[in-house]
Amino acid sequence: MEKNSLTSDVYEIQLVVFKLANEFYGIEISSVQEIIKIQDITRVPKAPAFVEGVINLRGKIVPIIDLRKRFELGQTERTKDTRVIVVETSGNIVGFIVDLVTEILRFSSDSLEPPPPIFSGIDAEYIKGVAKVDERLIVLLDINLIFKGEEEESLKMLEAGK
Amino acid sequence: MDIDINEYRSIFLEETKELIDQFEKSLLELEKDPNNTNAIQSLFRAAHTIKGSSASLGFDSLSKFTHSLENLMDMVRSSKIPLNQNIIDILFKGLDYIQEAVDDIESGHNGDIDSSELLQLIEKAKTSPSELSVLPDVSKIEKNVSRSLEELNDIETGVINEAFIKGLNVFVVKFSLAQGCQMKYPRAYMVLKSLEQLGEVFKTVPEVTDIEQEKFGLDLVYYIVTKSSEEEVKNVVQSIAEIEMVEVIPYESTRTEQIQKVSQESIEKDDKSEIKVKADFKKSQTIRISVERLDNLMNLVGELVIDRTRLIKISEDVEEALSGSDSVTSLAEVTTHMGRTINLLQDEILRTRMLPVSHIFERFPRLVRDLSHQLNKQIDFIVSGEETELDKSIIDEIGEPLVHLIRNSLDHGIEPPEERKSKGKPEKGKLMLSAKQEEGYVVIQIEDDGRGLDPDKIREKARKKDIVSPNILEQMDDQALFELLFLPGFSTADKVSEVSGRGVGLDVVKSVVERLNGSVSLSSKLGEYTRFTLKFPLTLAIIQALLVKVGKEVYALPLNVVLETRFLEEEEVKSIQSQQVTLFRGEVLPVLRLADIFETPGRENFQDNFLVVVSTSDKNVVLSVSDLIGNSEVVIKPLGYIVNKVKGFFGATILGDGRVALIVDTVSLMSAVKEKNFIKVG
Repeated sequence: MEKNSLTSDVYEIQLVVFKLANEFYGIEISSVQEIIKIQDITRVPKAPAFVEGVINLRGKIVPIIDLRKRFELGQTERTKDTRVIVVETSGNIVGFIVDLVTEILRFSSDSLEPPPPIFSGIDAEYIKGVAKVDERLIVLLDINLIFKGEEEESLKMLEAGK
Repeated sequence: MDIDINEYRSIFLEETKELIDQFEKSLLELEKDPNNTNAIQSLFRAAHTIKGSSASLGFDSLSKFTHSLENLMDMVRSSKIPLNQNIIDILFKGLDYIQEAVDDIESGHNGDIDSSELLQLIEKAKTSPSELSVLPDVSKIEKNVSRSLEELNDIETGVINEAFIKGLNVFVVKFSLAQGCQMKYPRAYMVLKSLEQLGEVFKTVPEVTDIEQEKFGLDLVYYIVTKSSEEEVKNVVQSIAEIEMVEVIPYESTRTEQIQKVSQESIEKDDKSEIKVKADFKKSQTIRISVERLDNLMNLVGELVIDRTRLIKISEDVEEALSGSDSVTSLAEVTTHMGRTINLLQDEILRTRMLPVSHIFERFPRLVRDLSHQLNKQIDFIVSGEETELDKSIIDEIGEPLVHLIRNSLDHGIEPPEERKSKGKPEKGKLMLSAKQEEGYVVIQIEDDGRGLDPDKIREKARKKDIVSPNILEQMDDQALFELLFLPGFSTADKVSEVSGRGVGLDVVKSVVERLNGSVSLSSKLGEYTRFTLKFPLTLAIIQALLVKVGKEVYALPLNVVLETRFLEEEEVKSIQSQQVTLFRGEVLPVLRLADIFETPGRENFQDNFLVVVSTSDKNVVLSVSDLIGNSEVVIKPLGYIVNKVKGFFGATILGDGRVALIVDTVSLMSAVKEKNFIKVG
C-alpha cells in the first residue's frame, strides 16, 4: 500500500495509453475489452462520418469509430501500428481506431489534475483529467461522455438535415 | 410463517388464466350447441376451481362471485332451470367480471370489484329464468343426440399434436357393422387389428372394454395415427367382411365441421372412452424456460451457423490446394457431418421458441361473437390449423393485424342477412381463419364469403385521390388495383364505422407484417369472397436473403421483399424527367441505383448488370446492382451502437468469408431516400 491510502477517495488508476495525433490519451482499463489489429471494415452507408463501419468480432457486429475524425484531429493514416481499442460501457461495444497503443500505466488517482482550460486537442468536456507521467502529459478520456456526445452529434446532423 | 405469498399468487394467476380460457371456450361451444353436457360440466368445474383457489388466497369478492356462478351452473347442469340465451349472456358477463378481477389481482390488488349488479342478475336467473329469456327451450331436446368428436383428453391431444409434428396423418375412422351381424366383437377386433398394422389406434368410441363385452350398437369410431393415406385406411377397413359405411375423415376436417353426430348407442356411457394401444405415450414433461435463455441459445446457434458456412468454405479451399490427401477427405467428411448436426440443432432450438397460433386464435371466437351481435350479422366462424407453430416473437406481434382483418371482414365484407338473402346467399356469412405450414413459411388466411372487392370502385377512388396517374390506372389489372388498398390513407369503405375504418388500415397491417419479414397479399371476387393471405417466416433470427454486389461491397436483401431479378438491358430502362424507370408487370417503376443511394466509393467506375424488383410499403421499386451472388440463409445480428441509428438497414450478417454484410430494409431505405434523411430520431 502506498502512503496516500489514508484518505479513502484516493485509488489506483490503470490506463491503456494510446497516441492520437502526437498527443497521449488514456482510457481506464476496466472499460477496455481488448485491443486488436485493424481488420476488414464494412462501410455503413449514410452513417456519421466518424463511423468507419462495422467489423465481425467473433460473431458480434462491432461499430468502429475513428477517434481522430470524432475529435476533428484529421485523418488517421493506417500503419502497422494502427490499433482498434474495443471498449464496453453501459452495454455498448465500440471499437476506437487509434494511431498506436503504447502501454498500460498505473498511478494513483491523486496525481490526476483537472483538465487545463485551454487544450489543443479534444473538447474539454470529454476529459476526466490529465496526469503527468515521466514528463508526458496523458489525457484521461471519459468514455461515457464520448458515447453521450455521439448521440447528440447524430441528432445535430439530423437537425441540419444531413 | 414464511410462505412466499407472491409465489402462490403467481401460481393462482397462471392457473386462473388457463381456467378463464377454458371457460370461454366451453361457453362458446355451449352457445353453439346448448346440449353439450361436457361444456356445461367444464364451465361448472372452472367456476368451482376458481372459487376454491380465490377463497384460499383471500380474494373474497372473486370467491363470492364464482360461488354464485357455480350455483347457477349447477342448476343448469341438473336441468333445474333451462339453458337459454339470457343465461348464456349472464355467463359471458360473468366471464368478463372474472377476467377483470384477475387483472386487478395481477396488478397487485385484491380483485375487489363490485359485482352486486351481476349477482342480482344471476339470482334473478335462478328464480325466474324464463322471464327475460329469448327462450329456445332446449332442455327437452334429447340430450344424447349430438356429441362432438372433439372430446379428447390430454393424452389424446398430445398424441395428435405429436403426430402432426412428425408429419403423420390422423384419421377418424367411422364404420358400421352389418345389420344382423352375429360376431360383433370379433369383427370390431379385426378392424382394430388391421388398422394397427397401418399405425396406432389411440382412441375408440366406445372404449375397448365395452367393445369386448359387445356393449355397443352397430356403429364404431376408431382414431388412428398413421403414415398411410386416407384411401389405404379405407381399403383396409372395407376389406373386412360385414363392415359397412366406412368413412375415413382426416382429423382436421372433423375439427372444423365440429358437430359430427355419433349414434346414440355408441355413447350410452357418459364418460370418455380411451385406450392406449401402445403404452409408451408418455405424458409430455415440460419445464419453464425464460425467453431470454432461449434467445441466448438462438444466438449461440447463430454463431455456429456462421462458423459452419466459413468452415465449408475453408474446407473447399483446402481441398483445392491439397486434393487427394487423406486428411483433406476426412476434413470434408467432418465438415459435412458437423454442418448437418448444426442444422438439426438449429431446427431444435427454433422449435423451442415456437408456439401454436392458437395462442392468438383463441381470442377470436369471442371477438367475432361480440362484433357480429353488434353489427347484427350472422357469422359462421371457422378456425383451422390452430396447432400450426410460429416463433414467439412473431406470435406476439400478429394479434393486432389479425384483429384488424377480422373486423374488416365482418364490417365491410360480410353483408347483413337481408342483403345476403336477396343475393341468393345463405343468410349466415362465413368467415374462415386458417393457418398452415408451407415449406419454410407459415401461411395465415382470412377469408369471408361477403361482398368481395369492386375493382371499378377502387379505380374510381384512386382517381379521386390522385394516387396513381390516370393512364397507368387504366392499364392496371384487378390484382394491381387491390394492391392499392395497402397504400396509406386508402380505404374503400364510404362511411367510417365504429368497428373499423378510421383511416388506419391495411397499410398498418402491411407494415407490421413486413417488419416481421412477412408478406401480405389479397385476392377477391366481386360478390363472392375476399381473402387475405399472410405469410411469415418461421423465425425472425434467420432469414433467406439475396446477396447482391454493389461495386465491391456485398449487401443482403431479404428474399420476402424480392419480387423478381433480371438482367439489365439498356433499352428497358428509360428516363422520364431525369428519373430512370422501367416497366414491370404493366406498371412503371422507378429504377434506383444502390451504388448512388449508398454513395459507394468508385461508383463511376462500375456498371450495373442486374435489376432487383423489391416491394416497399407504398410502391414497388427497382434497384440496380452490379452483380447477384445468390440466395443464402443469413443470421440477423444487431448493428450496435450509433450504427443502429442509420436508416435503411435492420441488421448485419456475417458471410462465409467472415466479412460483414449489411441487411437492407427496403421499407426504411425508401422512406429515407424520399425524406433525404438517414438518421433515426431517438
